[in-house]
Amino acid sequence: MKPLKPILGYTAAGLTVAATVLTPFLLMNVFTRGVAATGLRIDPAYTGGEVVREIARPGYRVRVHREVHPQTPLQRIQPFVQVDWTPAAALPPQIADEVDLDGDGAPDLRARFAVPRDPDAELRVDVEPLTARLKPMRGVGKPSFDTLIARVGDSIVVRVPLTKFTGFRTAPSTLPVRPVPRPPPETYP
Amino acid sequence: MSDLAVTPVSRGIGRSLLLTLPIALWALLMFSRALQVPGTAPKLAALLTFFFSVTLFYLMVKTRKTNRWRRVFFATLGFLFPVGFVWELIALRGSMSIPMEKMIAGDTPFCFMVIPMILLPAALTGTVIFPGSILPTASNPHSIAVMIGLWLAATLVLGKAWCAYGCFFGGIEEGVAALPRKARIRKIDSRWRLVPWAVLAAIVLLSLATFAPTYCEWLCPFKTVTEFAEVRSLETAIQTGIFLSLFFGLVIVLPWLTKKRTQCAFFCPFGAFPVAVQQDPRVRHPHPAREVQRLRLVPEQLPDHGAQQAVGRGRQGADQLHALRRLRGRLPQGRRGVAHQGHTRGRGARARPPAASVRRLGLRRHVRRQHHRRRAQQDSGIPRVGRPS
Repeated sequence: MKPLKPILGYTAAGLTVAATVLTPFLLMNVFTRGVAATGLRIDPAYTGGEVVREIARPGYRVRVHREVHPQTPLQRIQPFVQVDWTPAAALPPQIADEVDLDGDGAPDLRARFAVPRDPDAELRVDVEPLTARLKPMRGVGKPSFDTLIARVGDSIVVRVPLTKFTGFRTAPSTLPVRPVPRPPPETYP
Repeated sequence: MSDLAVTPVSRGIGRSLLLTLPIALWALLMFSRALQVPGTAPKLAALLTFFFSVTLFYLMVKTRKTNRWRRVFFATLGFLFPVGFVWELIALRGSMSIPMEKMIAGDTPFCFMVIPMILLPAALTGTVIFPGSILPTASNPHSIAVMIGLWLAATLVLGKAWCAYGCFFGGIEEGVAALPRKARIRKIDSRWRLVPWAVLAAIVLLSLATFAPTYCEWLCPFKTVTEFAEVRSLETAIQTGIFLSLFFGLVIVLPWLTKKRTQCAFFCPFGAFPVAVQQDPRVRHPHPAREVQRLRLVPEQLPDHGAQQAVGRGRQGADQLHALRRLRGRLPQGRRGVAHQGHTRGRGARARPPAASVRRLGLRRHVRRQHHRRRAQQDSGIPRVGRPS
């Protein structure tokens, strides 16, 4: 019985080393797929929430996201709704669009902004609310996560703050949603 | 130094090379990806890093002076990681700051320090409060899943050794702390060691309450040498000021004055986190009081006042156990011959014997104490404690 303990100990040590070697190469993909399968998602305050509807325009599309509300009373964002104009390369030099956010057939906001060819140029947006549930934006850049215009990837993103916590809800069921293709995750050898 | 001093017995070259071989193969495997990158410079950098790491491991094994070479490795990692990281950021973004566009696109590299803060929101709402990406993408390979996987593997395999070998940031402090010859501040109240727990509890709860990574937004000293939110308002300017103050205070000035890793010891919530998650009864050290009973010791046989107090207060920990077990002569075989007389502290009437002056715990010091205990026992005629029958 005496040598049993060291044998078990060295075996465990060897297996641990083997696991250490294998983890980054073999188990990492399994682990990342497992994490993805848990359904975890990045906070919509950062991502802007899921796309609920798309509006086709000549040469480009307008994507309306689900409105985002603070998850806790202390979260330092005000409710907002994100609207994307994509692809940025196909946009005309000046955008002046009326957008129907909730799919009721009536426009909810009028957005105006210039689209400079230089991707690093600073953007400014004017948003005129056509309903009482949106706040106006005048010459806004990107002061905060809930009120901004920014070029993200191949889109121009505008986040319009809402006036109430419980205002209108963008209706995902009224209009078909075209899923946005995502790039496949990079795999490890 | 006394003439009785003996250098630790070093291993032979062949044996050291054999012991280094598995690590060399493993390191080669780890660097295989970097070696496939086209271009001479990346290959050269990968080879240099490979040889540097493996050589340090060989020297650890050969000389048995683990801490010396670990410190070289760790300080180098600490000082060079920001160089590589910041270079990559500037190449990709043009600056160290994170623009909002990158956050919205989920291109913020995930840092392991965020893990304690995302746990409760993720468990309660399924939401990760970090502007990164769950899975690796071409624009953000440092994804949340990958970093959590690496951290989990490192915690399970290394435990708190992560703080000594794996943390990207601790090496800066360790390097700074190694520079001065003497500590200017020697006494630090041990209660300061509770601060990381307080910081950990505070940031976990505040992150849940505010749904934002509080530590990253307000308290992380290492934003100074990695990345931080773009300064666009008074708030972000204050945040950046806090990052700079904490960095220079806790990572530069205090380590210089105390010769300790002050940020790690007295502030870092992540240092407390692995301890918190490792409270598994199967890996917990036995209780010192039970160990005293098991070893059939009487209080007079305890090595010092500290150990007596530890047993009396019911504390548990590797240090106390080590202190108890060294009474039993259970030190590693290879270390029994390295005892030396040590130094006599003070002069003239204030001189104290070496055994009394050695208080801190550390392997070589244990041996010194044991050596002197043995000599003191021989001198005083107290019988040596034997193994329990």
